[in-house]
Amino acid sequence: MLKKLDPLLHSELRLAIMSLLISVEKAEFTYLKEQTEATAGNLSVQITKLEDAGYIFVKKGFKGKIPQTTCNITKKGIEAFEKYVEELKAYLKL
Amino acid sequence: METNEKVLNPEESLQIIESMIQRTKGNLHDSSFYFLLWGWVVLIGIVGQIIIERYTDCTKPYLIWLIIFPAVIANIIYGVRHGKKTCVSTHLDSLNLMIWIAFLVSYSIVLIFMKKFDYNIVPIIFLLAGNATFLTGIVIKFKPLILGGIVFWLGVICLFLIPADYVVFISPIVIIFGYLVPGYVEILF
Repeated sequence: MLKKLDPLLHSELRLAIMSLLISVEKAEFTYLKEQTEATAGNLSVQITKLEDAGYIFVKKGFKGKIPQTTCNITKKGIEAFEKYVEELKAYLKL
Repeated sequence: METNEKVLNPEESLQIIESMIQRTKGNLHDSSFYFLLWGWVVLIGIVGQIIIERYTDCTKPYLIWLIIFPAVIANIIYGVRHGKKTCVSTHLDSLNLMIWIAFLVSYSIVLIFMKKFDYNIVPIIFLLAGNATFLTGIVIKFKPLILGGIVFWLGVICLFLIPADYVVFISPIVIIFGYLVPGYVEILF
């Protein structure tokens, strides 16, 4: 049953990022870093993986002179997350 | 989150999901500034107009409502600055914003066509403000604002039922208990 779980989501940090993004409209990199307590480098790598999979949309810009990265979940990401939760519930017999 | 590829068991996955979703709760932004700003502006407008009408020879007491324009500018400046500081936006924040945009649009239409209402627009404005305040209270789960919205509705009923001599006291009371009290309570708690 575990093999069915989406490997992209079945990772601690990526799952945490997706769980945060499913609950909000958009979130900045700093917010995600603060909430997941991950290092900037690790977070950045995992965000890129989720972006490459089309699960999240990443927008890079500036807030004044400071670079700003904003993330939001995509429709594909929502579907993948919902499927993952359903499979998890089935595994746990919830 | 130390490692990026830690193997999770389903229980741990569920815990992560629950914990992260829990962290996003309570992110709703403080709206007290807006309630206090508009509470004071409207209160000054209402009381000021009454004082000018009763105790001066001024023929255009309604001009006191020009204070709305600097208030709009203050509102915009605060909104932009606050928006820049915010690093997360929830769906409820957007819903809350839409509630007040709907109020603003409705308010503007009533204001533009107030002649059609024989200038008797206070009950309509109070109903619109009551709806928006009540809904914001529901969205941010803040009882003083829910009660504030109800105060606006009760105020409208009073405007129609109470003898004309006392109507003048209704609007300031509605603004104090509908906007200012919830605004100060939000700051304090």
